[in-house]
Amino acid sequence: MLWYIGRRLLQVIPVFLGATLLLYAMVFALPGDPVAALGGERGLSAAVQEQIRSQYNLDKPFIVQYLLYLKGVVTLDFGMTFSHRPVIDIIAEAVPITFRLALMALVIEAIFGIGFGLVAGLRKGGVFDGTVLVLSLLVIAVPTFVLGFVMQFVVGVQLGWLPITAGRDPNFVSLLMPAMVLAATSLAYVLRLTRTSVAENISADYVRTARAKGLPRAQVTTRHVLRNSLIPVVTFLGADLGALMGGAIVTEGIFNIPGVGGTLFRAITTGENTLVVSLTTLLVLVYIVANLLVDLLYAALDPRIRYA
Amino acid sequence: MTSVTNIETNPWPERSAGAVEPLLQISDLRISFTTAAGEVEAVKGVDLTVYPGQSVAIVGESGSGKSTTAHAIIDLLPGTGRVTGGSIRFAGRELVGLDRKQVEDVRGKEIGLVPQDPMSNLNPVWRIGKQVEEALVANGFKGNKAQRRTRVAELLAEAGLPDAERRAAQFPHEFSGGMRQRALIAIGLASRPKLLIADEPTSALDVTVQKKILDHLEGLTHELGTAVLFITHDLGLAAERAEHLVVMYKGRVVESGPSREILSNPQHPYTRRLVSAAPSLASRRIQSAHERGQVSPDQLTAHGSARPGDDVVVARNLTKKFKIRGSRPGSHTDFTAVDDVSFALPRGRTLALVGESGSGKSTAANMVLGLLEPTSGTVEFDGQDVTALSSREQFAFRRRVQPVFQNPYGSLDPMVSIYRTLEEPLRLHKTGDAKEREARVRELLEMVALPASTMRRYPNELSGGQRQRIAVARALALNPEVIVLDEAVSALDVLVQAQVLTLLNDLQAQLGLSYLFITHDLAVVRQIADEVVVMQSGKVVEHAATDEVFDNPRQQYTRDLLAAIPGSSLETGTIAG
Amino acid sequence: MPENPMHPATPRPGQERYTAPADQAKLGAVDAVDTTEAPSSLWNEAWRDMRRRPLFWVSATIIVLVSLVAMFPGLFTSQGPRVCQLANSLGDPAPGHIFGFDRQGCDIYARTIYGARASVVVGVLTTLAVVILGTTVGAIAGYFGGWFDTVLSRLTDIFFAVPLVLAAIVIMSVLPERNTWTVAAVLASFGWTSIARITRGSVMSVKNNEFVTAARALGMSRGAILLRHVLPNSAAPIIVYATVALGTYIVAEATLTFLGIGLPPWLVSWGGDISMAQQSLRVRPEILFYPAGALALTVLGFIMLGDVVRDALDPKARKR
Repeated sequence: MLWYIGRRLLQVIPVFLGATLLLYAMVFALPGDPVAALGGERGLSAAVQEQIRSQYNLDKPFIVQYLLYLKGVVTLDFGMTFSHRPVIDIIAEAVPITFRLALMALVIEAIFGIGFGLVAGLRKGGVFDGTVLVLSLLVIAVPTFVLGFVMQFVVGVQLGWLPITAGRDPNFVSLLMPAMVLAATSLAYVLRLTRTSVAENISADYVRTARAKGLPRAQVTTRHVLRNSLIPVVTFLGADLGALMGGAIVTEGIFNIPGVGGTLFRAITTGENTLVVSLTTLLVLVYIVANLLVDLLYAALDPRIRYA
Repeated sequence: MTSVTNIETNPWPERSAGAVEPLLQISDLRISFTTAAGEVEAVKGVDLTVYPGQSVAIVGESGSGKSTTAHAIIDLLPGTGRVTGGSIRFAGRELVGLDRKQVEDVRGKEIGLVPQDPMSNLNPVWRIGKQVEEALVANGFKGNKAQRRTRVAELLAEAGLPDAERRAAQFPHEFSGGMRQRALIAIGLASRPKLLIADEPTSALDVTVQKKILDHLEGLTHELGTAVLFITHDLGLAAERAEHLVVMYKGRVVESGPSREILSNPQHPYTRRLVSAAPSLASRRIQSAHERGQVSPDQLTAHGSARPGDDVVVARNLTKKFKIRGSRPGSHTDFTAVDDVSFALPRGRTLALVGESGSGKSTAANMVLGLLEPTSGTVEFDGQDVTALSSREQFAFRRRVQPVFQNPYGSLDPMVSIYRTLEEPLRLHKTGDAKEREARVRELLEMVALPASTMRRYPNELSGGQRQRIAVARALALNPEVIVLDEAVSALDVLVQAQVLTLLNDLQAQLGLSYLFITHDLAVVRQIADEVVVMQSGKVVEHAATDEVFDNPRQQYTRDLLAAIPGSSLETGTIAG
Repeated sequence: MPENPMHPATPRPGQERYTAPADQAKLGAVDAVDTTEAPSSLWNEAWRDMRRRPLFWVSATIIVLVSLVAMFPGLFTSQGPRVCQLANSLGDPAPGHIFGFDRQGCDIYARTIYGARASVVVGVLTTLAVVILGTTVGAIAGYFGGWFDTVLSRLTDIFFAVPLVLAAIVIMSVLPERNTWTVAAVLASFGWTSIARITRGSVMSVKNNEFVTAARALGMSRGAILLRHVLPNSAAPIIVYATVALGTYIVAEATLTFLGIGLPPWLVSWGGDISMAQQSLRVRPEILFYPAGALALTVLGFIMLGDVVRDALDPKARKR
């Protein structure tokens, strides 16, 4: 098991380096001058542009730029924004909020996705299964931002049940609706995956053996059907954290939440590329770590993996 | 007469027939499945009786309804299956129509199950001990953690698992097939049921392991007084292990009665077919309708150097080592799959390579086929070393030796029609024009006794036996001299197996083919081979003419293999009559 | 035969010797070919299976309709999408303008019709690129293994480590030019990894089949085996994924356009219209409904089709 963890950790490093290099190259090496685009419509004077270039090492060869940036990442020195705020401060403010939001979304999708998926899978072909399946397709088909507006309008404005936007320091209640919106699409996927997995495992040989032992149905379902069906679902949930991060950009934008996504959203509109790259690196890092954790969790869930 | 084991320990309570109540009485049982095509009756009125402590076997091919019948007893029918008529009485109580709770009470406690495939029947995510423990707790075993653990170890040890306490803490993937089957037996017998349903309990295992486990199971159930209902496709095994036989065919019982009577005097035409086809009961090589021992003139002209009677393939000191990656990065161990193996295949004859899983027989076959490079040693084909061929020579060499593999579901590309499957080798080797190729495809289909219309079909429309015949036809397409048959009939039902073997034998006589016949099944060897090479752990153990090996085995391992053939103990005397 | 205690002279009740009448269970010839049904390939069978599903017809209708709208919008409306008069701003439905007018006074129905093309083009382009790239990478890695596999799999991991929408947002925000091609290119350059992984897995399991070994024994080259035998048998999961993915790329494009970094404003698109409708959400929520509904319906068509195809191509359902 230790070797397995060690091997996985070693594999993560090149992936992280590759992914950050890729992003960095895309942002700074693509056609188009990020600095010239900076001041928006007004534009910046040549002197200011020059100053910014040297401040952000943009005047150095690309690979040096990247290495300096990497050094910054490792030492948690992400540099300053154009308004001379340390990027790390902004991150420190935004991360807890997004973390709370993503966690709430993850919990919502795990509970409802697995719950409904289990029931649908156990009664495959039934009325509940059919309804839930069609609903899940609908949810997947409706883009998150449309769902966000509709929820905001119906639940927030028309019914007035939940706050429409979150404030500077959002609490559980004000994050509830954004979390539901954020979770919706993934919930549909989790549900469908659980359903397929359960429906498949229910006719597995070892489940029949468990029934032949005389094990009561509830125990057969939880210990054998559900337990084994969770293996692919957990893998999906971990990988989905990345989708949640991407989705958070939209959701936080709509609900005006000052999280990582919201900050990134604003940084993109104002063209603060340093902030964009820093935040993106952070999200990629979170995503990679989440996937690593999932792999380890996977090994814990499935004893066959540990020795592979 | 050593055929029936453990007669002395048979705990038959009463001697006089009739005084004992049947333990299990199935009458006029009907089972249907709902499919897209409508209701399909899989079991059509089956009668069956088992007495306490008795062993009864249901024998039939796949699709005969034998497993369905057995699973209906404890309400484990798969999918849409349901009992549509008849009754199942167990210990005086009707089982059909019980509610879920009542059935759960019967399962495990009254009737145990040892399922078919040990690889898929244990849950991969739970420890073995835990899975045995479940069977105890579910059936009312009271006791604390320590007591449960002790009992689990006892049960595993009783099922013949060495070092049971430590083994209980392991996961299924750390067990071999035989060990898993022992764990499943421990589960089946954990709560001391009165009846044990053993559904092909050992068909996935090597023969020697199979024998050990069946012997053990027999001793154990005798000791406990458990009745056993065997489900098997193997008539020899059934007759050897059970006193009463029920032969099923297409959902019906065609014949039933005392095992030996059925074996020595089968009445129903189907049973007769089965008895005459069962390889374990056959004792002679299949006789061909054609004249044997002659190489066809075609072949002699095609390959000028060939003379009848010489050795077409000679393997000298073949060795193959594989690197196995260790758990630590960078570490690996060498595994010698084939270790200094030599043999010669005489032209027009059949040489069998026999061994259990891991014996290296298939690796050796792949080296003969030129699909695997030997680590050392040579394969000579007509005196030419095939490992040293240039790629062009190798392409030409492909025409002369062709394989037929084991899995009828994997050996044909499901996306490709039979016509294209058979035409592909011709097209690849630029043989004839389109018209000639079509004529050849027809001819090939005729050789393997399939109608010409088959060429428009796809593999998924054919049965396993038919697919295997197509695979034979594909191998024949280029007029090869040697065919490597790698477990080519092992996955087939007995009757179909006999049919394919006869076909192979006829083709050999007709075309002067030489066969390298790879198998784990000594019984089949007797039907087809002239010479036998017995392999164990990569090494040749014994090499002799077939009759010599059967009549006068020199090595203990060969004797073990022979003794493990199901029904081998029945052979003498009883069948002859 | 000696007397045997296990075989009493008189069998016990229920165990008497029994032989069924020979005519009751008729013996067929051993293993005869069933010639009653017409020959049928796996694709034929999948098609037959799909035709029976109402969901297939629903999704096919949606897809055909949307494709027609995307190709010939003029057939469905005589109004131009850019003929807008501010006087009509937020106007009610009127004869000839069944959905009413948006904030700029454009005909909503016409804009919804003309918006289809952008979504469908991005979806189709991205899917094509992703399938070509992903299948190539996955097939080479899975089939040739070894060194190829190591390099290509790591490369896939790296691209996979950046979530699709996130990558698209970052890159689109710095791209000087935003149009259908760049949106499709950006989505494709981070979207191919899933197909590569699926193809790799599928190819690796197919290549172990005995028909592949048989083809090798016939002397067929590795490349030919990959193209003729391995890829066709690996195609099912790729087709299923691509169908569903087409729908998700349309959503991704709309999201980018909504954020203002996807398709340019001068191009009529659902994402852009949704973004604009948002401003008048409180006054006229139904303006949002039309482009959003059209978008959702289109996506629904593709993912439903993916579902139906998956069931029809399911390897477990294939075996008879």
